[in-house]
Amino acid sequence: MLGLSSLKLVFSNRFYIFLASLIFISFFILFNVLGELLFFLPVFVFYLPQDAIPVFVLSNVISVLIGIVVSMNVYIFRHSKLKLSKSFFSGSSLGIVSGACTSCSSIGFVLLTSFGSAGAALSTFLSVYQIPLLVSSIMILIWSYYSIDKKLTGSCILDYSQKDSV
Amino acid sequence: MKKGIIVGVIVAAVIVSIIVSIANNDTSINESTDATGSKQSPSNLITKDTPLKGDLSAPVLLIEFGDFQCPNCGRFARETAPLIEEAYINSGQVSMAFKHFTIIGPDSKTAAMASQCANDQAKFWEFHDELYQNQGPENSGWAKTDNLKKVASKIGLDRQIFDSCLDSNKYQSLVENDLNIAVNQIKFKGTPSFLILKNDGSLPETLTGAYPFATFQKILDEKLSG
Repeated sequence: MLGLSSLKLVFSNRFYIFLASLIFISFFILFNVLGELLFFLPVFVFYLPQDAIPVFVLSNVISVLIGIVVSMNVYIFRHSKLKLSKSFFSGSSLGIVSGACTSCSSIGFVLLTSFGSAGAALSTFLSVYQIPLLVSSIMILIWSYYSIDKKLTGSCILDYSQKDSV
Repeated sequence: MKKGIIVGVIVAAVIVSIIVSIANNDTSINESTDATGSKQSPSNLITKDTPLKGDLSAPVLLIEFGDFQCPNCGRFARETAPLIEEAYINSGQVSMAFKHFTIIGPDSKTAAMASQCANDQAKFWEFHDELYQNQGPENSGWAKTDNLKKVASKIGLDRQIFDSCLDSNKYQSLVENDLNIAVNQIKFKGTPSFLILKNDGSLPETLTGAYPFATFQKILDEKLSG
């Protein structure tokens, strides 16, 4: 069960709410641009076709989690000498990579033209397994949140079993 | 505290501007020219074998460069193309052609050739719609010859003629030529891509991405009024 005490601790400061919102909005834009749901030119338009709903929902969950996890990492960075969570980097980068229809976009085109059959295989893998990759990304980010929560609250927990054994 | 907010705003602004510039780069609208710098014209692009919806004498021509295995091409075919057809093609203002931009895998080429074989029997668009309505994951085998033949039967094509056309690779050179136009002449970098121009070849614009109807509406209205 994920603890909420670290959330309360970090987000009692309005700066971190602001930071999390800013990061969420940035990633919301990134995912929706990559997913070809949000367009800036020639007209600013957002649309959500039925086939895009699962990816839209999952990528928004990732955006929210990245916002929370980054803000909590910043909190740790500013208040202690603890290191940033590695799982945050893997979770968010996996989320970004799997957030787009790779083979259709210019990302896929670059992969295909630069790396030939290996690029084609990677492009196909990213497209076919887009939803499992997004779900994996969410799991990694939840794990990242869990490890940050442990870092923030762990120091207040007494381990009686170890105390008894000493 | 204030310093942190300012840094946060600057970082977010940089991130957003990078995203916007990437997006605009991917979906830019340019004057469309070929490798020699001369403008593309409908007569160069539309041949007797090019599938066409509407009348070629319509004031504006919209050419889609698509791949039957591309999910975003499927999205365009299911969501946006019917609205364009209803608003512009049925009223004779726009004609729409399809050219093959087969970049996803070998099955893309097979599906493209099969669609041209369906075009021989005047059923390209039925075949096109059937493939996009039942699109499977990329390179998963759904667009292999056997399945394409089943689709041909489903939409009522003469199987003997269709099979002979597909098995003999009749349209291999046409499909390769379309790909060459997309990659080397117009220099498209993704699917679906579109070339929109007036029927005299003037005011050409290119667009890459599964844009919604509102975007096409703006461009087509500008072309029609310009």
